[in-house]
Amino acid sequence: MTRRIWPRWFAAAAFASALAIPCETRAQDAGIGTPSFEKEALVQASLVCDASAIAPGGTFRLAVRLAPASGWHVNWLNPGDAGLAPGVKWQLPDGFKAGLVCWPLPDRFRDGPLVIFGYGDELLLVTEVTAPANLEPGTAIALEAGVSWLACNEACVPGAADLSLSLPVATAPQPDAAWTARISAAVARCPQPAGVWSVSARLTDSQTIAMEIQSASMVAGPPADVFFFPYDPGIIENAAPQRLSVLASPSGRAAYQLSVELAHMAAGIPPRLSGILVSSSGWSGNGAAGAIEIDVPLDRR
Amino acid sequence: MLTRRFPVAAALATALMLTVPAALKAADRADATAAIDKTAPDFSLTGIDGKTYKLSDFQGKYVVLEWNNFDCPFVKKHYGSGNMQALQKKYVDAGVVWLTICSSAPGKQGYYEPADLQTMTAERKLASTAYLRDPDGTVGREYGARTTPHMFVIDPKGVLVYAGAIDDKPSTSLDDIQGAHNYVRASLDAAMAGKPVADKSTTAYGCGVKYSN
Repeated sequence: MTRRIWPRWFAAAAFASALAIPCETRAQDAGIGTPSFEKEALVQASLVCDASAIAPGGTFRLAVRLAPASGWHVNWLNPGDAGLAPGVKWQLPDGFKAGLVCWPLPDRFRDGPLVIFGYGDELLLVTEVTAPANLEPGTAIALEAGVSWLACNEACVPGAADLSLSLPVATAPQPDAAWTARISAAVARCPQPAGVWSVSARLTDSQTIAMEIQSASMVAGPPADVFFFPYDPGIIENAAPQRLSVLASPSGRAAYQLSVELAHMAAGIPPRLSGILVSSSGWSGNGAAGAIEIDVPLDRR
Repeated sequence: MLTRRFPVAAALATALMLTVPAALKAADRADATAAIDKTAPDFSLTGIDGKTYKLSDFQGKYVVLEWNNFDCPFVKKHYGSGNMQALQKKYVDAGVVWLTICSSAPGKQGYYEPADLQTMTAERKLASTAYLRDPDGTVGREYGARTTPHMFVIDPKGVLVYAGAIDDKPSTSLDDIQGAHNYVRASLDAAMAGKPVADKSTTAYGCGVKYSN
């Protein structure tokens, strides 16, 4: 099972930039029981990385690339009202260590009364990989991943691929400038720690959660188009609007309340709320990240 | 207690009531949307056999509602493996009324004319009591049916005792049926034995129901 949380230490990793050979491989197989003419068209799947050669003991970023055809989408971790999150199973050689996968913030797709969370554009699911120190320069290593997804427009079509990427081992790493830029752009859309923002959540009635969102510093204005995406499905009414109001704050700091509707037929009220808070204007004071990650108790009144 | 589903569904239900006020009493409105441990909303739909099926006619029996779209890969998983038909047969044989419902709107995936559906259900050896069409999505919206499949179990008193997924393995893979915990079987077996239903509500998985926009 892939995980959701982007490791904080990752931002510290630095990558030199130089011209290198692209290291993309194409899907070798796609689709479960789908007609062959649909395979290529719906989702292009490949493994990509930000290096064209790796060094013993070195660290690089590896990503599963899923590019849905125009009008189609693949899902986020929580697919919303319907669908299925893509699955990634890394098959790395002995001694390689993969970190957690980072999931860029999703879009919302309305489908009648339903709302789906996902991606209509190229999705890069990035992870940081550390190579073992005993690799021999001049050899090559094969990185593999079993990937599955559900592509939907009005219809849904499952797909799967066994992806493979061969990388040469060199005495010094050779970065790939083009993929470094695209992978960095994907990582910039991954949730960041809440930073200067503190969030609490409480039930105001049997159907509504009030999330109090405060900044430790002054901010220019309220964040725009705020939406809370829970990591788990079935927690909130995905199609219900979420309303942000400005709270009076005696300290002069920014304080807001986001009103979120609980799922009407939820099995129970969850003890904690975990997920991401997304704003189209970014969370100022926190590198203007588009999404911040929260995991807070859900207080009863 | 949680008593409402989609705001959209509620708004639609309200709009429908306003157009036919004489047909509905105040008591009906209170139950206009489905909720666990509450009386399931009554409905009347036409089967592909041409007969009319009214939920309240089945008082005294367990009723299963199964949302369906034969072209959805999640539905194909449960029909291609025979899993769904085996469940239907087992419980229909035990006296349960099993209603398979399609809320696909005209022109949308899974919408078929009754004659086509008769062929399709025969090919698949459908073993439910009836296959009902809900092309305007009214019943689907009242029940908050989001996915195909989406399963509901109603007890002999007409109370909704289970709503959610068919099992605990959200996937389109046939391999996942074996070893999955089937919530419909678990809730029916428990309720029919006079025991409490362990999981009354789960998150359904599947394709979105192809409602009209």
